[in-house]
Amino acid sequence: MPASTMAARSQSPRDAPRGPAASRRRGGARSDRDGDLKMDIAVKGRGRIGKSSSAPSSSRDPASRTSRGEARGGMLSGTARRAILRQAAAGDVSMREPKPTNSRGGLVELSITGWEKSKASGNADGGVSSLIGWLEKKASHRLGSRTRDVKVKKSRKEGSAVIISVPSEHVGALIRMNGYEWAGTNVTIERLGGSKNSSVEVKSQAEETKAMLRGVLERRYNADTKVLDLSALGQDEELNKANVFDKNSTTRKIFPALMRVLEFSFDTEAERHAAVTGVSLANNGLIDLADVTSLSQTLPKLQNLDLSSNNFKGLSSLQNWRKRFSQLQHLVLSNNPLEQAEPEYPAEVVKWYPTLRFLNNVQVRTEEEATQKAAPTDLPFPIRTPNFQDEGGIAEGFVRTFFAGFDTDRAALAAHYYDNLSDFSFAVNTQAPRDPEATQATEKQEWDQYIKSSRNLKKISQPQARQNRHFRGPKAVADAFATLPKTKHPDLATEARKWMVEAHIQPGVPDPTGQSASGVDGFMITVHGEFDELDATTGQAGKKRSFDRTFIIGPGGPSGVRVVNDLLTLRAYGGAQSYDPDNFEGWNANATAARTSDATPDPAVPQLPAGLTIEMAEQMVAELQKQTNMTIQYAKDCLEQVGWDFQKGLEAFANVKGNLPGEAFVGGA
Amino acid sequence: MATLTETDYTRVSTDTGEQFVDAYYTALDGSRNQIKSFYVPTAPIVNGRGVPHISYNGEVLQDASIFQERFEKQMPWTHFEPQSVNVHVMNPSMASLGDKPSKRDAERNMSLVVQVSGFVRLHERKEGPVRGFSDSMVLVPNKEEVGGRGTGKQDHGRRWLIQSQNFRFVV
Repeated sequence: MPASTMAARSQSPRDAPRGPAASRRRGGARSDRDGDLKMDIAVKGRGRIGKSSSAPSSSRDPASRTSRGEARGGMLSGTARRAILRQAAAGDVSMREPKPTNSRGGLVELSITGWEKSKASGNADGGVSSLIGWLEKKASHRLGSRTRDVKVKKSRKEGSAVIISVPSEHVGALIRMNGYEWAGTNVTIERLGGSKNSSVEVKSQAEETKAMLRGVLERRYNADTKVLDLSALGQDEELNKANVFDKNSTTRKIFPALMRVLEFSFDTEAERHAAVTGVSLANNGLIDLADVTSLSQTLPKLQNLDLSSNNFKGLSSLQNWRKRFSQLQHLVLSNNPLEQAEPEYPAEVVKWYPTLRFLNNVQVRTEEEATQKAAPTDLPFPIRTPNFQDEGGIAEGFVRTFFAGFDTDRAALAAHYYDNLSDFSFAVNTQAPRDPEATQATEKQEWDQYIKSSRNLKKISQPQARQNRHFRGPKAVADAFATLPKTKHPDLATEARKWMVEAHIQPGVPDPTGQSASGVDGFMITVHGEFDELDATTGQAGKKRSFDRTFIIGPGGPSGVRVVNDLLTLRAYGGAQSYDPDNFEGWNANATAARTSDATPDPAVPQLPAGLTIEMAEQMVAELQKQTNMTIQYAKDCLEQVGWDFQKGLEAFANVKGNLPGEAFVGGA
Repeated sequence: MATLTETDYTRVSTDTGEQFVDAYYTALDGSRNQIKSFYVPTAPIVNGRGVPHISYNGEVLQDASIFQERFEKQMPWTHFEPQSVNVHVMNPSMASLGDKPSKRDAERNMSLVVQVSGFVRLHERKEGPVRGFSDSMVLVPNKEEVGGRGTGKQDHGRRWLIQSQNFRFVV
């Protein structure tokens, strides 16, 4: 696919990153996405490049571990932390915003003061409109299954205060922002005509903690880049202000709680994965992953991960995540002591994550390489071109006729190829692996139309049921075909990539004439492909499915070819990557090798070198035949063996003509 | 031929197919030194009709010991999981058995087509990559006359052998 190749190749590491690192850099000085909260972060570890790794906290010996553990005990004991988590999980605290019980509760007025000295005071309106924009944005929920869009309905200036009117269900979210910093100044938000917090129902401590954590996540989430910025948690003003956590152990205590709250914000895993594709854990002073390991459980499908500017001493401190994040595309590890300690680490990390494209903003794999890596090719049986052994185009003709007929007229097809001894049955593999790039969702009872007659012996154990799900003779086969949904298969010629068709000669196929009990030669044909189910009344394409179909065909019947056996497996759409020619190992080399080693020449599919048309080849064969009197087949074989060089063909002929059998010549033998 | 009923054919073919599939994939995973015992011995190639015919992801092998060696020496850890199995009788009567064949002989006088759909996990348990596969085989009874070593008087050894096979990764 040249287009995608070009695209991937032209992508320089510089313009590629959309991950946490990118968003981090874009911000310049550290700030959250809105630029509204100056977090004043001491960039821990930044200045460490070049320094030896003997930083004071570097030791991993048991003694210092113990002391670290003690330090972590800190103000909030493990018991307290567990209590918070338990409450969060137990459901006495609703992790989701309580549903507004009375959404038509009218408007509530809030007064905002302390905003006048902001950086936006130079604006024409003194900054009021940008203040309101900030309030709306800040109070809205973007992270979660139920998003909340806060709108300020009315606003007016009253002395030094701005009075806003908002729907009552949003009051809580706005009051919670009391004391937040906006454009360089702290704003005070109060309910008008009420005491400071009277509007907000009294909350339990756990509920407040939950709301606080929810706010932290919300503030650190960028809905556009889908990045959750959990960097420098120890310096987070709101977390510190909440005063629940001891400063030295903030990350350790808070992280699992944050992950818990994140999980509760979404109804389904899929929604969570779709909303958050990148996480930054930069500047958290991490020496290993113990504090943050829950990330890999909460967001196992993460694509972008920033671990820069921590205190990882070596790859061993990242070992926990070696097998996690199977879809990781972009990882940042810069500004960690391991860079100096283990300069060879990138090679190892690239091995850990088979789909990784960028490490520290440097491209380590192209898009194609990463996709191929997902489908391992380092097996002793690499994916090769189809092995299609035919004679006189019998197998090819059968496949073409069969699938065209299956889509258009199954009754006629059954009468054409099936006789009284022809067997058909099908089996549904409901659990088959799906397309790695799947977009189709699984529906309930999605195999209903098939399952009644499915003969999957793993599921159907009664002998009578097995016998009943086995159809013999044109009538029974036609009836069984009729129970299956209408289909449309891709075109065999123009959409060959969606098919994998193989055939080989199968000895011992029953002889319908009864002359040879041990049987005659037929073909085993295996077809893997896909089809669209068509709606019976509208003819609209519906569900896409994949199938495997194994035929044994032999001589006989009205058309000269009869189906002896027809076994069909139906399964969920599995994509066509596994037989895409782009993934074939050494595609050209093998094609030639297969040619020369193939014992049965296949006149239907000549293998021609590039630049040689079939017409030119035919002329060469005709000319060689004229000059040597060889048969067409021998002349063709001769030219194939010399790579379609006419002069060499003549020389080869001169060398071997004495040894050629009579049948090699026209009118011979 | 006449001595077996349709019920007999269904029973023999499906039981055989199931047992064979279980034993065969177990051997691919865990007893790779047994693999070649599941195939008919190699017979000389005549007009491209050599047996066994083993087509594996497009590569054709006509010798089960080569196939076994690849598995033994090069194949990483695997776990094959046949999720769907279906079997038909291909040839119900492969040889003339005389007037009154025993039921046992008649039951060993047919060839079978087996179709399997499943997945294989590669490299490691739980976290290794998964590929979907489709495997089709023709099984013949293990008898001297079809080139096998037979199962002996005590009926030891495998009763059925792969004569031809087509395997593909399909997902």
